[in-house]
Amino acid sequence: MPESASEHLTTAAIEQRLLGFLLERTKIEWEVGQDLFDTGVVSSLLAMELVVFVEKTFDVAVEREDLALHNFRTVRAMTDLVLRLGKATDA
Amino acid sequence: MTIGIGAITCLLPRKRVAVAELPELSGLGAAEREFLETSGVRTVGVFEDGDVGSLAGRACKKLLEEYGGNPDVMIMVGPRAPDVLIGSDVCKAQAHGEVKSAVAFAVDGLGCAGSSAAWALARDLLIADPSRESVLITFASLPTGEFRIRYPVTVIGDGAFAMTVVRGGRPVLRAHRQETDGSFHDLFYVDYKSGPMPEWREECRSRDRYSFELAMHSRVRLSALVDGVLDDAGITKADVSATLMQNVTESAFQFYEQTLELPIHRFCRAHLADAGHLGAMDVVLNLQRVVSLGGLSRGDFVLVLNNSPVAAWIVTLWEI
Repeated sequence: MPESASEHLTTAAIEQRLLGFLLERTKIEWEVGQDLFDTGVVSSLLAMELVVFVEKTFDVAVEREDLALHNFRTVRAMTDLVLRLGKATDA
Repeated sequence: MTIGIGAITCLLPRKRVAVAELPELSGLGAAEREFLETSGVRTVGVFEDGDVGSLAGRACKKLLEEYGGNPDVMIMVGPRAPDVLIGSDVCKAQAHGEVKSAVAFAVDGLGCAGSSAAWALARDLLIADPSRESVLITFASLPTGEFRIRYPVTVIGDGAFAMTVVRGGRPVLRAHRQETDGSFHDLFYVDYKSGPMPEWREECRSRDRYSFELAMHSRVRLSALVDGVLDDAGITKADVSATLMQNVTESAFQFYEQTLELPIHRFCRAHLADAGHLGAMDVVLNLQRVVSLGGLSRGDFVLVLNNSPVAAWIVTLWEI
């Protein structure tokens, strides 16, 4: 189920959803500050799945300049993006 | 009056070289070797001789000998590296192809997507001037220098094509949309001024920009273009009989299948494995084969995706 933008998304909740997705797809336990792309584990295909997961799970649209690697490099960066886009949707 | 394809001629070399036997392989690192193993390219075609002008001319000559016609306009899709500076590859192709009736010029700067831009331009040129009957398009694929492996993109094979776009041709060009984004203009480059040709090597300025940012932009852009083209034609994805794209890597096929929720036709994978990446020729070869051997019927729709890291994205809908 998508998290509605109007629901109160906590940092911890977002991180847990993202870590769960990454564990399921890569079979690796990731840290929130760990670089996902440095390892070579995350391919373009998985990166796309990650973007789609973020959009669908948190009901946000990641577009144009937000489609930058620095927003997806770590779970923490993705969490910040979701929080920022969630607020923008609410506004 | 509809506008569509008159004829297509594709030239592929008889000689095949296994990717595992390419001379540059010995200088590759572990990541590049791993890329090759999963690229989906098994062999590449290699011409024994010829440059882009003469090979494109050979394709044109063969097409005109087989199908006839006196094209009014000749468009050459710009090669990866021109045969000469100041001189003219397209006029060389015109001379070698004996295309005496046409005014010749080049469409350039869009990489693999150039062929799709050229057939749309051909349609527009026919619409613009009722006295024109036929536009000839040509291109030859050769590596930029001596290296065929373009890590992390693909492996280059040799080939050349010629095709005509004519009034009343089939398949009919039913809908077409295209976009470019100049911010990726220097993502890939060959520093040809600093060394002799054997040392020319394609460089990727940022693997991250290619593998993530360009991929994500491609997902968004191509999705919107596909929706727009289908909407223009008044059909849905369910009405598409075959979806074709350029033959780059196996992972690229998977990426776009997942992005667009459309299966990429098996001919694309077969051509990638056998011939490698032929640049702007890929979609033409794929279209020719699917039209002649794909079991399609009149009225069926073929969707052709084409994009390049320049960056350009183009989607065309053809009706058989």
